[in-house]
Amino acid sequence: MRWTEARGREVLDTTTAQTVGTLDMLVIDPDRAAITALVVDDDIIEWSDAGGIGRDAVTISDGNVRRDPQQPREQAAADGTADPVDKLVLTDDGFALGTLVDLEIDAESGTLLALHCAHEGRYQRLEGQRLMGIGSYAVVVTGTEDHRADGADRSDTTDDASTDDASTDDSSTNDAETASADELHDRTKDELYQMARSREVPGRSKMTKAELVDALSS
Amino acid sequence: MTRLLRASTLIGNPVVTLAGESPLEVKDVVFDTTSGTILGFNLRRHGLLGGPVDETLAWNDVHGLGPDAVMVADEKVLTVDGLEATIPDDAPEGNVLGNQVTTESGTNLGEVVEVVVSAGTRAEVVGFEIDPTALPGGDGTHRFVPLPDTLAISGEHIVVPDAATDFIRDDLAGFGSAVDEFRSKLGRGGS
Repeated sequence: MRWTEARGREVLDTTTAQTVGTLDMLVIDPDRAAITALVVDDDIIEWSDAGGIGRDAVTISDGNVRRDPQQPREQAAADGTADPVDKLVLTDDGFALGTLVDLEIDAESGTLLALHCAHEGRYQRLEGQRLMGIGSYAVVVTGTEDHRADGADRSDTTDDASTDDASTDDSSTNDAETASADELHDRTKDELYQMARSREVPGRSKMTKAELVDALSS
Repeated sequence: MTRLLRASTLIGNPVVTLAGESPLEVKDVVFDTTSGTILGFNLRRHGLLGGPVDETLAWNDVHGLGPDAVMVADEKVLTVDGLEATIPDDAPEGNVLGNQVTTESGTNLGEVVEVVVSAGTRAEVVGFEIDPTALPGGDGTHRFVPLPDTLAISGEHIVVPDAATDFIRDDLAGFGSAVDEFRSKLGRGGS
């Protein structure tokens, strides 16, 4: 389920059949990549007290489970400073991946499955496990294998930017025979330059990344 | 493949915690003039009118360095005297930028105009961009010279091994593989 679909849903108390508010925000624990609580109007309802996010409503079975925000993370979610949508997505090695457009969640378990990020019209799906933090400036995720020297346990073996099934790990070769523009865009500029060099593309050292992609995909 | 950045592009970049907050941004880069490496950063407030602050960021406290942000674990590493403490007491005045790069056998290669760093969670200075004076076929185009693991450097000169000239490149993109090759060559040669 996408967060942008669930946002604004009614919260229904099933014992009284009354609407008690609307779902405004999720409180997410990055360490577990899981929803820990919901923000309903200005109150906090812990995930364990909710019956999950249903297709049309969020259900709770006891109106008394609403409480004030207690931890900083809950407070940030409640006052809106930790709204992830439209935030810059930054890796922990300082690369901007784009803007966060949506979260993909498991509505029953509360697991954060993925973050959806857009950059110049291209969409990228990042594994939920990669989330490190949601703050007022950015959403921080772990970087790609390229920059990990010591194999942190957050590493995932799939190519996060893959839009096809030909996902590779960091030992991808520099000499793809024929590559689509999409696959090329996933390469670093250095890798594209090496490919251009092996194909003796003229003017390669003056090209921007976009120009290299064009030259290599035509 | 090593991704490289020019150190001056870091100026104005936000300093961002892993929790996604950015209290400050980079005001300038502080170099160690005895080794050519980066000691850290002076910081300022965000925005065009961002005034300087007393907080600094020491290089060792950087979690990850990239083209878009300098990442730190949390705001606690932005201290008032952390950087000061890492500057050697006898460090000469000088800036690395503007230093003359000379080979061991005495050929001047040019003046340093940029310090080049590798991005990522193990960022380090990997070489210099120089404005060449005496390179064969020199046409005024800037060149990139790799920094060897050991180096002689004073407030005015930087001495590089003769082997460095084999790995000079004329563009930043190709320089990454040149740095890797140069280092493995030095490793095997055991300089």
